Amino acid sequence: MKRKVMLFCSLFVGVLTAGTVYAGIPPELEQDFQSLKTYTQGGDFSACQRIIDAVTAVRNDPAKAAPLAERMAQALSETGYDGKWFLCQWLYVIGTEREAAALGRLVHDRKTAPLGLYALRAIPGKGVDQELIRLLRSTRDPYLLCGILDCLGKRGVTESLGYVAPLMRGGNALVVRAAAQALADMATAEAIYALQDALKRTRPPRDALIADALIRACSRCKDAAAVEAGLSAVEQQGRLPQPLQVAARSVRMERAVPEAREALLYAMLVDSNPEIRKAGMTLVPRLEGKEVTLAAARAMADSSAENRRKLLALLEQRADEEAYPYVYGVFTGSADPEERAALIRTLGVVGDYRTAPDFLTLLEKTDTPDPVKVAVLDALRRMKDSMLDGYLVSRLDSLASPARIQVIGVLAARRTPEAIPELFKWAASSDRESAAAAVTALGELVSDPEFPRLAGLLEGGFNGDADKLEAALMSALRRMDDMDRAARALMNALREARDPAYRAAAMRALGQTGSPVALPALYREASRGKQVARLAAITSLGKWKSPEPLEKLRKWAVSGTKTKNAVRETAVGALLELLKTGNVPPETALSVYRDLLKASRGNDGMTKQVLAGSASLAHPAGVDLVLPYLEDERYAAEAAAALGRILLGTANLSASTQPEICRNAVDGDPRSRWSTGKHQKPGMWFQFDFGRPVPLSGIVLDTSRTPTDFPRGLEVYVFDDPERPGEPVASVAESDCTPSLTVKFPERKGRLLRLVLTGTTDKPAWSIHEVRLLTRTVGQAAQTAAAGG
Amino acid sequence: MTSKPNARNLRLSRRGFLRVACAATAGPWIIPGRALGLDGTVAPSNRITVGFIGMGRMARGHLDGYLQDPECQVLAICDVERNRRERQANRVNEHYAAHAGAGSYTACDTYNDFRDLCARADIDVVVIATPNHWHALNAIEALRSGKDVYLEKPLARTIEECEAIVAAVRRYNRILQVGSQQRSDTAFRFACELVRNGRIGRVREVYADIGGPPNEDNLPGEPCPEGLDWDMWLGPCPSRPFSSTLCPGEFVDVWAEWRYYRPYAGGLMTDWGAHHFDIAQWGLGRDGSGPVDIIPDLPDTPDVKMLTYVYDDGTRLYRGPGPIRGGGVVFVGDEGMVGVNRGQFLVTVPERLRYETLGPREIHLYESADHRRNFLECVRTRKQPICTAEIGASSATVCHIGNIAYQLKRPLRWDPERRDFVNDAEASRLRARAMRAPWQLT
Repeated sequence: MKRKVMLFCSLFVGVLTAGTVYAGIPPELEQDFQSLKTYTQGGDFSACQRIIDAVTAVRNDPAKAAPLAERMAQALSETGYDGKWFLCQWLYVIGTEREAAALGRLVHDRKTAPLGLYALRAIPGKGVDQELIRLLRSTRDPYLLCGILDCLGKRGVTESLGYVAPLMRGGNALVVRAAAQALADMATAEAIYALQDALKRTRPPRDALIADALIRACSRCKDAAAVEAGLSAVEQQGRLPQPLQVAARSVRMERAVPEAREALLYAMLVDSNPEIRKAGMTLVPRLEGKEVTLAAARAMADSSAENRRKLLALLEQRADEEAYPYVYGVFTGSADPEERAALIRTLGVVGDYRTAPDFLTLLEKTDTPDPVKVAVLDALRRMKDSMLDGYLVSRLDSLASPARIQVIGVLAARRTPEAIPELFKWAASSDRESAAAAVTALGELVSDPEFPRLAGLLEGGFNGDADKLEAALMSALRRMDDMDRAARALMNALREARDPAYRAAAMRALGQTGSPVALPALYREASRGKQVARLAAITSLGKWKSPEPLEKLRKWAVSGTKTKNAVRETAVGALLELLKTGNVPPETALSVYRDLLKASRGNDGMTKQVLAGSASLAHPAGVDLVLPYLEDERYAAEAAAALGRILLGTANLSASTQPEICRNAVDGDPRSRWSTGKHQKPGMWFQFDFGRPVPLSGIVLDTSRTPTDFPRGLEVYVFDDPERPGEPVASVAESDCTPSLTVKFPERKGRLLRLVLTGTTDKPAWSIHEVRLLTRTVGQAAQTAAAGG
Repeated sequence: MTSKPNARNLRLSRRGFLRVACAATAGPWIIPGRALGLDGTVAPSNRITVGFIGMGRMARGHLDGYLQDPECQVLAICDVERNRRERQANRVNEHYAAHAGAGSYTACDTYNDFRDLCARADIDVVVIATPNHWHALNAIEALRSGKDVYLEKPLARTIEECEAIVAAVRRYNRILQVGSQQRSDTAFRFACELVRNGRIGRVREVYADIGGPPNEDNLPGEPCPEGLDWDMWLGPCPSRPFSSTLCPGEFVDVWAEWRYYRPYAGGLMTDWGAHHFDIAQWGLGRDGSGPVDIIPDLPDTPDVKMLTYVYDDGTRLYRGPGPIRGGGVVFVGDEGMVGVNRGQFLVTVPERLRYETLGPREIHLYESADHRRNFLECVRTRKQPICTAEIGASSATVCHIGNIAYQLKRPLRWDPERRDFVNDAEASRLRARAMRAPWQLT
C-alpha cells in the first residue's frame, strides 16, 4: 500500500514538473533533466552526457550559464543520490552563489553532505561563505560539522573564525581536529592566537591535535610575530609527540631570517637528541643559502665520526664552495682512511685546483690505501675548476708512471682538449703503459681535426698493442661528423702501415666509417692483403649497411678451390651478415642463398651456417629452398628453425580484431605486439595463411612483456580449406595457459594455422608479442633450435 | 550496497587522534634478530623497518624488492581487502621464515586502517601504493607520524593535494620519494643530460606518448565482496556502490581501473604523464615549474593535433607520439633529436650523441641507478632523493592542468610561480576537490 502511494505521488509530481517550462533551458535539454530523475549509477548516461555538453557549451557565457546552473540546482531536489552526485560534479564547474542555498540543503543530510560540499567548496563568492557559516551555526552533528569546517578553512573564510574557534573546546575529538585544521587553513595571525589559546587550555593527548594545526598555521602565516608566538607555545608544551617537536623546530628554521638560520641549524645538527639531529640533516640539502652550508660545515667539523660522515655526504650533495675551508681543514688532520676518502670526495665537489697537489701526492705514495686513491681519482674527475686541467697536464712529466697513467685517465674523463698535444707525445713514448693510456685517452678526446693524427699512429709511431689503438680509433670514430674525411685519413695511414695487425685494425676502422670512400681500400685488402688484414677487410664488408659489397663477397664465398678455406668461410659469414642487415632485395638474397647452398655441398658446417642464415629470407620461395633439407637428418634442425622464421615472415596474417597490427606479432621485436584491444571473449582468433601446405608441429606464444594478456584457453587448428577448419590439433585449458605458452602437436601439413580463444574470462585483452613456429620435430636439438627461431 | 561511512569513521578517527600521542610514548617494537631467527649481514637494529599501505599489483612488485633487501625488514601491511593483506602478510612471514631456516615467522602485522600502521613507532618507512584519491591522506598521515615515505606516482589527485604533500614534507621534515622511477633509468637520465647540455641545440619540441584524460564514473554497482571495506576504499570520495572495475579482486591479475575515472584519478594523463611528462620536465630543466599555456586538442579544433603545452621560452610539449616509433619521450632541437624510452635510446640525431660523455663542467643530473635503493640511501643519509615531492608535484601538475583544459574544453593560461591559472576563476576552482568528511586535507 505504502509503495503504491509513493508511486502515485511520484507520478503526480512528474506530471506537474513535466509541463514546467524553465527559462533558458531548451525543451530537449529539459527532457534530459526529466530523465535524470531516474538515473542510477551504471544506467543510461546519455542524458547526463548531454547535460555535460550543455555545461561545457555555455560556461563562458554567464547569461546562458545562469539558467542552466539554476535548473541544475532545482534538479537536486528531484533526483536520487546518483543524480545529485552527477549534478554536484558539474555545479562544481558551473555553479554560482545563487545555487548555494540549494546545495546547502544537501548538507543537512550525512549521505548527501559530501556532494553539496563538493560543489560549495569550489564555487567562489561571499554568498557561499555566508551559507557555510549559516550551516555551521545551525548544525550540531559532528560529522556534518567536520565537512563544513573543512570547507570554511579551505576557502579561507576568516569571518567564520569567531564561530570556529569555540568548537575547539568541545567534547568531540573529530570536531576539535577539524576546527583546529580549519584555522590552520586560514593561517592568519588571529587564527594562530586562537590556536595558541586553545593549546593552553587543552590537556594531553588532545593537545597534539591543536599543536599540529598550530605548527601548520605557523608554516603558512605571513605575520612574523604571530608565528614566533605560535611556535614558542608549541615548544613550551613539553609532552608533545616527537614528530611534532621536530616539526616545530623545522618550521622555526625554515621561517627564520637568514642571519638567524646558521645558529639555529647548527644547534639542530649538534643537538643531543638524534631525532633533532636527523631533522637538521634533512634540512641541509633542502634549504638554500650560504648560511646553511656554513652551519653544516661547522657542525661537520665539530661532530663525531658517524655524524661527520653523514654531514660530508650532505655537503657533497649541496656542492657549495663555502664549505671548502672546513672540509679541507678536517682533511689535513684526518688519519682514518674511510673518513679521508669521504673528505676527498666532498673536496672534489666543493674544492678547487689548490687541493690537487695534495691529491697527486696521495696518488704517488705507495702506501696510500686503495679507497683513498679511488676517492682521489673520483674527486679529480668531478672537480669543476678549469685551472685543474692545465695543472694536471703540466704535471704529467713529473709523475711516476702508475700515477701518470691514472692522471691520463682523469684527463680523458674530464674531456680536456688542451691535453691532446701532450697525450700525442706520450702515445709515441717508449713507456708502453703510458703510451697505451695516452692512446686510450686520445680515443676519448680527439675530434675531426685531430683524427688524422690519431690514424697516423698506424704508421708505426705508437709503441703499444694494435688492439689498444684500434679501440681508440673506434671510440673516436663514433663521435666523428665527417666519415669521408676519417676514411681518407685511415687510407693515408695505410700507405705506410706495414704491420698486418695494424692493417687489420685499420680495416675494421674503415668498416666502422661506413664511407663509400673506404670501399676500394677494403676490396684491395680483401683481395691481396696478408691473411689477418684480409679477413678483417672481408668481415668489415659484411657489416656494410648497403648491398654494394655483395657481389665481391659472393665471389669469394662461392669461388671454389681457388680461395683459401679461411677466407671462404669468413666470406660466407660476412655474406650472411650482409644479407641480414645490408638491405639486400629479397630476390637477390634468394639467389645468393641458392648459390651458397650449392657451393657448400659436402661441407656440413657451412651448409648449417647458410641454412641458419636463411631464416632472415623474406621470400616465399625460401620455403622451397629449405624444405629439402628437412628430410636430411644432418640439417633438419637448422632447416626447421629457418623454415619457421621464413613462414612467419611471408605468411598472410589476419585476426578477429585489430588485423592491421597483426605483423607486430612476427616482427622479431618483442616490444611490439598484436592485441585484441578488447577483453577476451571465446571465439576471438588469430590466423596464419602460408599460401601452401607446410609441415607444422607447434607454436610458441610470447606475452611475457604484458604478462596479464596471455590467452585464457586456446585451440589450435591446422587446415587447408579456409571454410573448413576441422577439428583442433591441440587444445590448452585456461588453467594451463601462461604468459609464455608452448603448444605442441603431432606434425601435420596445412596451409592455414588458426588460434582460437576458448576461455570465458572477460578480461584482460589477449596479446601476442612474438610468435615462434615449430615445424618439424627433429629430436631435442632441433626443438631447441626451432624454439629459438 | 555501501556500508555506512560515518559510524565507522567516527570511531576510527576518535582513536586516530590518540595514536599521534601514543606514537610518542610507545616503546620500540623491534624484535631482536636472534629471536626472529634472522641471520642477515645487517644487524636488526640497523635495518630500515617498512610498512606497506595498499597491496595492489604495484605494491606487490615493491614488496618483492624490499623482501630481497637485507637492509630492510617489512613489519606491517595495510589494505582494505582482508584476503589481500593476509595473503601478502603470509608471503612476508614465509619469506623471513625461509631465510631464517625457522619453521614459522609471524611478525608481519596486518591493518585495515592506515592510521593504525602509521601510529607504530617502530616503523621507519612507509611505502604507499594506493589508488590516487588516497595518496595525499596516506602520505600526510605517515609524514605526521615521523615516517619517511615512498609514494607511488602521480603525487596526488589534484593540484591542491600535491601542494599539501609538499608542505607536509617540509613541515614534518621527512624524506619523500615519488615513484616516477624513470628518473632512475640510465637512458632517460643521459637523454636529459644531452638535452640540458645543448647537444641537440635549442629545444623546440618535446613529445610524450601517453594516453588521455579520465572518464566520468558511470560504472554499475555490484554486490560488495566479503572482506572488503568498501567505505574505506572510497575514503575521501563521495559514496557509490562497489565496482569490481575499480577494485578488482585479489586473484585478478590486472591493473585496477580506478585510474581511468575522474573521482579517483586523472586517467592515463596522470598515470603515464607522471612518467613521460616528468622526463620532459627534467630534460627541459623545469622541475618545480611548468608551462604557461595549455591548448587542448578537441574535435572542433582540427588544427590542434595534440594537447600542447607551451613554456615561457616558446618550447612546446605535446601529448602524443613523436616523429619516431617506439613511444617514450622525444626531444627535438635545432641541431638534433633524442628519443628515449625505458632502458633504451630510440633515436639520437646525430647518431654519435649516444656515445658521448660529459665533462666535469657540464650539467650532470642526479644519478640513481635504482629508485628504491636511492630512497633507502636517502633515508639513511638524509640526502634529497632523486624524485622529491616538489618534483613530483610539478610533474603531476602538468598532467592536472592538461586534464582541466580537457574538462573545460578550452585553452588555459597557467602561472607556474603562483601555481594557479591566470585570471581564470573557472579553471582555478578545479585545482581542488572537497573531501568527504571526516577526511580532511591538512
